[in-house]
Amino acid sequence: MAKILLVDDERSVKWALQQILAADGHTVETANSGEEGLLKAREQAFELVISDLRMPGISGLEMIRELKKRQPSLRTIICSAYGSMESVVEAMRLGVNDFLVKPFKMALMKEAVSQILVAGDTEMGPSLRALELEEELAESPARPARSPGPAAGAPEFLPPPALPCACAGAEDERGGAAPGEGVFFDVVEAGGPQVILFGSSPLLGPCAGALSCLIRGALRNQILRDPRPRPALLALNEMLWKFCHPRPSVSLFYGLLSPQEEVLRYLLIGDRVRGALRRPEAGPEPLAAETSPVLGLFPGLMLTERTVQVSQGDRLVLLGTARVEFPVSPPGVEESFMPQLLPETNWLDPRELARQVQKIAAERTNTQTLSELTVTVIELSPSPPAEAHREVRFSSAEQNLRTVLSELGRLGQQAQIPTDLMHDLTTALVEAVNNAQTHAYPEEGEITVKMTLSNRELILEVIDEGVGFDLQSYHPPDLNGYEGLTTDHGRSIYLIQQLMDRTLIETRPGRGTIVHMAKGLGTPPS
Amino acid sequence: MSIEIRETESFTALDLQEDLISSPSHPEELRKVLEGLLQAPAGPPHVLINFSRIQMVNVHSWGVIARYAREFRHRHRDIKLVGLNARLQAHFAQLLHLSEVLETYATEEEALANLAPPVSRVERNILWKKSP
Repeated sequence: MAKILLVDDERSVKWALQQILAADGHTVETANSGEEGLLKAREQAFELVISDLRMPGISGLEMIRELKKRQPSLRTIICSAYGSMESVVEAMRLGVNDFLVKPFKMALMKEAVSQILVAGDTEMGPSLRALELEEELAESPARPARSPGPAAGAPEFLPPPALPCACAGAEDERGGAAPGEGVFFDVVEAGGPQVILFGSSPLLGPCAGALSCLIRGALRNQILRDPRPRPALLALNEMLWKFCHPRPSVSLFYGLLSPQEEVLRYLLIGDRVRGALRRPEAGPEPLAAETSPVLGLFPGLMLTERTVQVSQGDRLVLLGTARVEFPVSPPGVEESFMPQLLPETNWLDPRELARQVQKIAAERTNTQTLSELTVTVIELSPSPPAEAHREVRFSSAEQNLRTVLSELGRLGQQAQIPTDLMHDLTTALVEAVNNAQTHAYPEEGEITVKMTLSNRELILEVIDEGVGFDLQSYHPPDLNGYEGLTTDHGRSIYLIQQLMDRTLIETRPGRGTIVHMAKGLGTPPS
Repeated sequence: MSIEIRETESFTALDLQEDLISSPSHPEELRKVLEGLLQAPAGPPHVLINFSRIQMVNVHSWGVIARYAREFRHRHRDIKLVGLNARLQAHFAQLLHLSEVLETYATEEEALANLAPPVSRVERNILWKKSP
């Protein structure tokens, strides 16, 4: 478990992060500004610093620059709602290990933290400085054997938060099936639509990590502005061309999945990534690749978005390798390769699919086994719109609590929520409502309860416009003995956190409070 | 009324009739009953709280029970909990760590077998004055 410094001027974000990281066993210190962060880091050593980009006073990047002077091996994550391509590049130049765009899912941050901490002590974080120095590797068409150790590809695979998918490499010489180095994958929610990234470059080690981190960070920023494939990849191409030396030659699949329209808009560039759609009861459908060879070599590209209809049950299969001599790249081979491959393969298992590709590639091209191949299978299950939404607005009165509970009961019946789970949900909701009634308003005030059911997850939100509170003064109750329980302090929040899967509290003194709670409902009884 | 009260020679049983969650006034109602029993000049020394009819308890009510368990113990009396379902038992023991300070039993008979030996009211008052 690590000692982590959390620097952010937004208290609710800082508080939520502190809670989830502490729950994972980390020791977490917080600071409200870059200046305070520098002071704390002078007093004690940290293994990881997570910082907001923009804060009053010195920025997160300026603070990290100072910290890195003293502790070059310090691992860092920048998160921001306002990042530009330039700030992402600057962060990577400083050796920042990851760049997350707000709002992010807590699970994404947890996974980023755990992957960065798991990377060995020798791994100093992906750095554009390293990328700029690795001329030999980038110029070399052949790829040396995979470098050993867990750090090699560590920051490249963040868990996709939105779509069911699996990703694996073919079995390597050590019997493992880790995704190949130099290949990266990400799924980003773009306010309804979801963006799927799957890419590859011939770079290795810290360079590969730096490049994938840069691309993911830059695209996450771009997606906030315009998630359409063409503008996003033109912006990415320009950035890579402008900032990366030597030219990184990136192959990339970028797909924008629109759940409402059931459409996948995509661009597939470069010869190290290939893709196909597999529909139930139908043959494979290779995805069309752009004629533009790769991203990052020239400032301008002619790109044409492709569109394909998708529906529930379709699967997107993406194959990637950092090897330049990907055996499906010659056009003649590719056309016959995909149909041959796709009908006979177990589509649920990316590892099995990777093995099949290896086998066919070896037969067809007489090359050695593709030990670096990575395969991702993504279920294109466009998220259905919320199945149910209820909203109850009331002033504090006993009768209204009963109304809220009966609405929750109806939702529970509709979603066939098991009784025990229903009791947990009711308990958590009542705790939040009681908190709002007891603490938000000196007299009486309005409370809104929202209940949303979507994708077998129930979201409960309790909103008041009352006095709010200072999250910094919140401490979990002392449960050694029963002293903590006999006082009012923090008991409800503690219980809510224990009962729900995710909890986030937004509050500021004088500006009200929102308690967001989410609980997965599992599969409905048959 | 969400609490029914029964008296025997050695204990008062509080049969909870309604989930301690469906009304904001429930914890206060429970507090008043326990305070009344604590201050009563006569009556059985111990209290059993019977949860067998309820499914949900809010944290405020748990806090009231924990607080009065301490008060009763200071006076050499006892509160024991009976009939918690598995889910409430999990909240009680694992989430709130209350099993370190309060005992729970499946039935009243089991709880009775583990009650402290009766202490006369006069003796009890003397002990109370001596306790810190």
